[in-house]
Amino acid sequence: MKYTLTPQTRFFSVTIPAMVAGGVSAVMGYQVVSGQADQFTWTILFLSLWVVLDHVLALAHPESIVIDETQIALTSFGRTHAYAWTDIQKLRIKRLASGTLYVRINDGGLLKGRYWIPVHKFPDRLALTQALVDHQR
Amino acid sequence: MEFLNYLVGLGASVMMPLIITLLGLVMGAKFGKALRAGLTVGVGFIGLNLVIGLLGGNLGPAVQQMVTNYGLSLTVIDVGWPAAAAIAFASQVGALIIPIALAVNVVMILTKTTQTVNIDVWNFWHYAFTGALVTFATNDLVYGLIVAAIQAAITLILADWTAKGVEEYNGLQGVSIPHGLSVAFVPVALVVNKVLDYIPGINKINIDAEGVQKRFGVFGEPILVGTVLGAVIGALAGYDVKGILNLGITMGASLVLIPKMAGLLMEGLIPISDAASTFVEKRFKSNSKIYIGLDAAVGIGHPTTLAVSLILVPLSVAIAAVLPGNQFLPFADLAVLPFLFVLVVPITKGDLFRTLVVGLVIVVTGLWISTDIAPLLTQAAADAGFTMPVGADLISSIADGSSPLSWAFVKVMDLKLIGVAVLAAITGAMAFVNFKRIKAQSK
Repeated sequence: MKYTLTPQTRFFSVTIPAMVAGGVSAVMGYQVVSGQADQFTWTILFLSLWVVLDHVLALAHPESIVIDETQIALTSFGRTHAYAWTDIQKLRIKRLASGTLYVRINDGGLLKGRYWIPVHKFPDRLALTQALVDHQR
Repeated sequence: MEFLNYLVGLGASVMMPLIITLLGLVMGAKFGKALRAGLTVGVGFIGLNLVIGLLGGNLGPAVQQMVTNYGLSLTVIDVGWPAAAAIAFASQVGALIIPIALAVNVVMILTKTTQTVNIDVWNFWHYAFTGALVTFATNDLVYGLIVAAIQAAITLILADWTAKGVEEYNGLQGVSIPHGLSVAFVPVALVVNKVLDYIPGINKINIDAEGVQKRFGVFGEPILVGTVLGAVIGALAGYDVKGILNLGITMGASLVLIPKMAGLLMEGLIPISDAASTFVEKRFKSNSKIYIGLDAAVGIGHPTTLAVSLILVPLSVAIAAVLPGNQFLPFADLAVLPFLFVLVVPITKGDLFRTLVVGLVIVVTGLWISTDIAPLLTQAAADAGFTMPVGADLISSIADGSSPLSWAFVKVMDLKLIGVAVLAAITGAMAFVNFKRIKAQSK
């Protein structure tokens, strides 16, 4: 079963933050290269690059999720993290009171395995929540 | 004491990772996990403060330009929170506030009259500010110390009462906000929100962030709300097109990035929060939750908080100009407005309309309080060596000059020993109610 964010939610919750952070990174990077960096430039550059990494590389905010008998696959920015159920030793879910699920697969790392899933923004929220909870281990 | 002051002097950016790591270790987490959590929280906290600084740093000058453009002038000048901080730190109460507040927290944790472990040591100065004002007014240090301790206790209790809402509406699991300024407006929010429940028609209005997005489509998205409001403020400040666009985009970007930094902070905090819950369950055989008390900055990112703050920035100035009995012109501290609404949002359940109404009441009462407390605050600031602006006869501030809690404490302490008895009785009653609540929760 495939669960997908609405286009508007996808754009404003996933794409826009990455674009804004990317823009800030570019501005800060330019300041560094042109010798205009001040005491905060490097910190802001690091943090904005982290947001880009989180969204684009680590896919921590997936746009769509596929859950079937063989695997779970999380997709964002045209890339997919796919995990066969047989390869998953741990799937932990932290349910936040705001309705978002923080999912960690096999301990989760910097580039893979940590996912923020705002289930209340998915059209099939109940089915998605149940599917994730059913596979918790 | 000097060691404590040295530690605090290292700043939140250094101390926050250390404190979180230590907390994790105490709660039984492995060293690697605790260290990773501490560093992540530290980085998130730095990021949050940088983006909030970006917001304030751009908003402040715009507001000041707006005031200048409209030629507004009142007799009490807003010099900002540095005046209140100067009063706090220059006083003997300020010198002793850290051990006092920590001791209050430990005693309340052990007696189960609070669930909050307050690690936001840098904001203990809010209690010291009130204590310093009371010391100055009564000419008695003991009264000042007692009031500071009482404010610390009441802040912890109010933080507990709003914690569930903070979890639900700010997405901050396991976190409470025992911030001396933010909690001061909780009673106002509770009363106004309750009154709104009884007004026919008004009580049916329900505009939360999701509702705004449903009704206004893309124009309800935080980035667009921030951009539009920022542009409006820039226009009111008389900026040129470049300035208006710059301010609008900066505000919009802030509304996007603040939640990202808060998310990073939460990723670090979740393992510690889990370890704390397990620790309490094992050691105290209790299901009672432990909240980690953090700076109100972590709750600034809610779209309703920021939207209401941006709307109220120009409105506050307008209201100040026409409000009968007001002599205080909000100026330097307008960028601090979001801190006043952080704990209002959980009470209004994120409703934009209700938060705005509460916000208006807070602004009106805040202006009167800042006016009323100005003579005492001016004297105390001068005594603390604060440099007065040229031509200023009276000064005040939004933080903490408009705090209803600080104001109430100062007024009650006019009664000296009777005032102490009254405050102690109120605190005792609140602590008892909280104890019963915690006990019921842990069954």
